Amino acid sequence: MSDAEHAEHHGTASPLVSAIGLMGIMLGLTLAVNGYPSFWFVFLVGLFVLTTGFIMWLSEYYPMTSEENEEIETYHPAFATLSTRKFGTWIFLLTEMMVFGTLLSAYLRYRAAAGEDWVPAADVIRSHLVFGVINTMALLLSSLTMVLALYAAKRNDHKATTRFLGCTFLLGILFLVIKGFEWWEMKNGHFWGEHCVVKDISHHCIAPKYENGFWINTSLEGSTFYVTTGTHGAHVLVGVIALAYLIVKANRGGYNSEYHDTLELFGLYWHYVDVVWVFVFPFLYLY
Amino acid sequence: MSDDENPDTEAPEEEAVEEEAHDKHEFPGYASGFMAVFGWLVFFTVLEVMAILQEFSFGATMFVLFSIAFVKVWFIASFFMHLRWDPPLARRTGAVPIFFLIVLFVAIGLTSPGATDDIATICGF
Repeated sequence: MSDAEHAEHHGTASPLVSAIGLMGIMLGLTLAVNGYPSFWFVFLVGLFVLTTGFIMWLSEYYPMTSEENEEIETYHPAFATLSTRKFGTWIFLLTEMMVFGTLLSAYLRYRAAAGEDWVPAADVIRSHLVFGVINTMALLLSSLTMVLALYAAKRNDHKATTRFLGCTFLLGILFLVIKGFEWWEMKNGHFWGEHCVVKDISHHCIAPKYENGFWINTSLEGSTFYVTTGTHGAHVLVGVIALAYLIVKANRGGYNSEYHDTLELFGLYWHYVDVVWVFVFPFLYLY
Repeated sequence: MSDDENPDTEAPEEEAVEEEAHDKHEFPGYASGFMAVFGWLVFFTVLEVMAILQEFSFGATMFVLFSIAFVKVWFIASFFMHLRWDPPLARRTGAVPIFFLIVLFVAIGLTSPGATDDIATICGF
């Protein structure tokens, strides 16, 4: 890559606009919930600016028929063939790993501190574990359909690409619907009998403190469960929104044997969400 | 940067290495292998659900769950995330947070409750 090409401006203000919007959201939300209600205005302005940046980015990317994809300058053979976009995606995933690593290690620490007093969410869900299993299968299957969508794009099969992306989208929606149903049932205490007031897991009864339901403010067990699964669910939701956009673009032949890196990079994100669930499922649903 | 340092003017041997690395980046020309990976992931999921119903001891349960989780992550990262075919840089980048995750889980998540509070004592202050 020559110096002139290296210094070429990308010609978009959307990252800067989005960053300013995000700053407004964080600043406004932090102050608004800590005794300064007037800062809800800053939060709303930030949300508007972030949405504007997002729409700017979409409107710039949608008509593109090719993909900007510079290779990293090769100072060493080990750096060969990895594009800047892919490297950036992996760096993004690193930060995401730290987010979920923090949530899960905090959960383990609280649980270790509580000892025998800890009544895990797994006990609450045990009688309805099938929902968690279905969600696990949905995410695993959606990872497969995502890979198949990429394969179809490489074969210039636009219909199959759209179809597989559609399957991934529907499986993501299925995951969110089941998750929402599960949360609703747990919040209202429908997962155990009305007269269960003793901790007797083998008969699907539950500790007295959950007789009125299991919600984020019920206990520390509830807080860790809903914050962790909620953060994961938010990532699935973002993925589903992105999938809707990819489907529209794939349907008009936007991805082919030459330009399919966007599908691959989104796939990395989607598979990462799957990887997180691989840890969330056993440690919050099974044990 | 002088021309001597410019990678664009490197010796042909390095270009050959790059070519080879680029070839490794290519995905396999079949999709059935991914079906098999999905099958293995389903198998390990069933295995972990069955394992939890056996009501093993805490240590045994943790060992089984962590082991199965790592095997599933290996399948997803290697095949679905293409790390098997990616250049070493991608694998090394992906491995960076493992150090921090170990610190989080072993030094904080799985320590005794008072461990971090007593860190001054441990350090001899």
